[in-house]
Amino acid sequence: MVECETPMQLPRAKNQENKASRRAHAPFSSIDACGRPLKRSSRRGLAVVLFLVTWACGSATGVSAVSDVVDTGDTAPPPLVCAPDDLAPIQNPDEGSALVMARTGITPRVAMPGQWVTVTVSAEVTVDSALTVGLGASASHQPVALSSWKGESMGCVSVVAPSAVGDYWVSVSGDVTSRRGDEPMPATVGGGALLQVRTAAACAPDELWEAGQCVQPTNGHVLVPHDFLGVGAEDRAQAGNVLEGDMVHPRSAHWLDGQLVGCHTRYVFVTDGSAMQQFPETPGSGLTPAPPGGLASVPLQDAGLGACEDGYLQASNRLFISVSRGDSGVDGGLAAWWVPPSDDGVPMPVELRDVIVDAGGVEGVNWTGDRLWALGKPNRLLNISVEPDGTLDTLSELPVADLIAGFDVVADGDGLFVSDAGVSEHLHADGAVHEHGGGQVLWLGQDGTVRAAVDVPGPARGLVMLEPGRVAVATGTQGIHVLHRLNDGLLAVETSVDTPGSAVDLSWSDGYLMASDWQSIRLYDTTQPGLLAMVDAADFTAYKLLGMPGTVAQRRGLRAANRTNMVSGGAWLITEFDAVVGGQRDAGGVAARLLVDTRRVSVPLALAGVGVTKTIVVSNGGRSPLWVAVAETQHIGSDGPRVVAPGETAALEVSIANVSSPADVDRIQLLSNDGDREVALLVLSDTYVPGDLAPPMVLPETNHCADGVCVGDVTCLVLAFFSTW
Amino acid sequence: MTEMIPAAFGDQVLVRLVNAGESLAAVMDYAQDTGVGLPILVDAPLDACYAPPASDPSAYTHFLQRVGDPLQDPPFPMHVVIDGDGVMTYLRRAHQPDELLSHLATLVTDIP
Repeated sequence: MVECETPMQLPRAKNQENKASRRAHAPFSSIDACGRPLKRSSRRGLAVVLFLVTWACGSATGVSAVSDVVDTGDTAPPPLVCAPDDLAPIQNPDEGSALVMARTGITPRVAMPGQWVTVTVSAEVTVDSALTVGLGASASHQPVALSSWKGESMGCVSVVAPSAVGDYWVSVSGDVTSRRGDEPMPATVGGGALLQVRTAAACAPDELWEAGQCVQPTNGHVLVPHDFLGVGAEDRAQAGNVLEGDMVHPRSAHWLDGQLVGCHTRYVFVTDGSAMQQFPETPGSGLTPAPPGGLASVPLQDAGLGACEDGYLQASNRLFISVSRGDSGVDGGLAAWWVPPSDDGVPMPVELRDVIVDAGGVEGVNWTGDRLWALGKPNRLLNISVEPDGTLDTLSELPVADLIAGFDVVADGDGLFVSDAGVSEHLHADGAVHEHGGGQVLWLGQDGTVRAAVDVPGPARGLVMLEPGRVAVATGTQGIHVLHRLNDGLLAVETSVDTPGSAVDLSWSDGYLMASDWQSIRLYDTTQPGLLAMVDAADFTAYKLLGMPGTVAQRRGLRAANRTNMVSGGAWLITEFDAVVGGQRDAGGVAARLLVDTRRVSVPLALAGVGVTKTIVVSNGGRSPLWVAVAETQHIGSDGPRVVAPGETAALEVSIANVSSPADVDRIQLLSNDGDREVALLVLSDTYVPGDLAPPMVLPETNHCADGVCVGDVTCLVLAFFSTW
Repeated sequence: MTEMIPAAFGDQVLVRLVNAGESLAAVMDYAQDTGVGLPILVDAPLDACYAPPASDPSAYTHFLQRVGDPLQDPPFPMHVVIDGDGVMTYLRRAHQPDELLSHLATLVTDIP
């Protein structure tokens, strides 16, 4: 049972990921140049956001500065000591850029609520530059008095950590005079650092809190990709016609003795290392295709099933259970497969051991030891025994009252958590999509009785246990919610975080929560009650990934991350649109991470000639400040470089002009302190644009109006093209 | 998402799902399995009334080549809004429900 030390938090609105720093705070208080109070907190005795400013108070070298002690309420600040020598280096834009990045450090990085911390700033600007520091979304920014130091200008302020746990962005900004070029020039300064406020952390000043332990920060990323497997390309190529429904989307992958075991739409597969491509150490050069072979596939049709949607591995018995939802007349159900060991490393085809056909289809599964709980569509709880040889036996099948569209199940003691996708959205007459009317999470007895339930704003899908009595649930476009059982047995939403994409699946190990969010994967620290702290997020747009033939010859980044699998020790796997990506978790990585939400921009030639502005949305998945700029050319312009705080999203305005032919330009290059990216730019000479007349066409209708085409007095016609896969 | 449009806009917006060339049996199974209640058009020559735009082999192919990026956009969903004058006012090959609904709200003045 979890007893939160922080108040319950309501789900935040969309696009508020990592917006803990935007909570309202008490006003700033500050002191003058050498510690004289300028303004006192209006709420004496409360923990407040408070800055102390100092300048020209340091030693002759300017390395340190000590302020007078100011009464801020109950706690006086410690002596203020700048620590520029401890600042990590930061990559700046080109010298000609109007942006100068400030190196920023917070001591200590991890603070208790209400604790004083010191923010030290250093930048290649003149000493008379106007540079300010702000905490979170507070409108108040306090000036930092600068003094010369080793060719830069530096200063520091004291800050009181907010009273609520969270990750708080301490930003540096201001209009300054850059000293980076041959001549001083006007510029803006950007930068900042993340302040972690935790209730139980006692780390060294330079350490950070991550997944329940203090770790030394590194200038790398936590989510590091290693392996890539293009799944089903051969099957698809042989199918010859993508419209026959022979799609091959991987849905599950697990490591077993150095081999990869998983399933995609129509097959259970085993691969060895030779089938995997290795991510290059230098992004951008593309992946080297692996040699053919090293892949053994067995069709799900052997079990009378289709469309594998998930799979579970029990390594001790070398058993793999595929889960099928059913598809277009093909039954759903469960199948147990034995994975033969390989003496020479060559993968052996799995062997079917047993199958349970369920005409309604099966969704989520929880498998521990010889007991397997599964959800039969739409509202049945299945209790199944699994023998070591793979024999399956249905012990009970119970309808669950109030369950609308069961998606996932987690066993916890004598009960079960169940996610219910329910009705995903609710539309109001004004056309807006409102959050209520979403899904729910149920707490069931093993007899299927509902003990408790709690609503979540989106369709409740992937579910994972963080600790007994505490689970996280993915809710599509509504992000991720953490829930726990209260002492009275009821369920409560403890905290939530929105995600930029659609959160589908979750996995957890060692205090880390991993989420697949369609165009990205995301990693959170779950060890602080009441908080989901983002550790890293990645979309791998720095890499060229090989796609399936016939669709996308080569692309960049994730496009449909669905299942995640993270095991103790840090190895992780995700299944993607047409690939499996594997990697390692490297604790402590705080480097900025550029995620590119807008992967391509299409522009009609006519507009590209006279000039048009497009928006490219990017975000920062790391824990350090990200700067990003558009490489300007004769065809491409921009509104200048931007600084993006951790977890934040930015919209870059890109102007496209002077294009006379589609061959003139085919990409927009983004520059950043996390490497370069490319956004495809397609200039279309034969395309539809809003305002064109719809072409005449006649299509037969199938499930309505059996007597012919239905024509009514309508204002608009919406054509929504779809496929059954 | 498209299921919500009639509830929001009544008979001011006609929604038609268009299946991209699968068999009639697959489409009907899908409709039954998923409970899709909206009318479905089949983009395949099931009977004599099939006439895709221009000389293209299918309506889907026609729009695929003219909406978004033929090489890099996801194939589905593709949303096309045609106003009462036959003018296409919204063309997307990306799932942007908020954007689509907001667009419809600008077109439809008589929301029930």
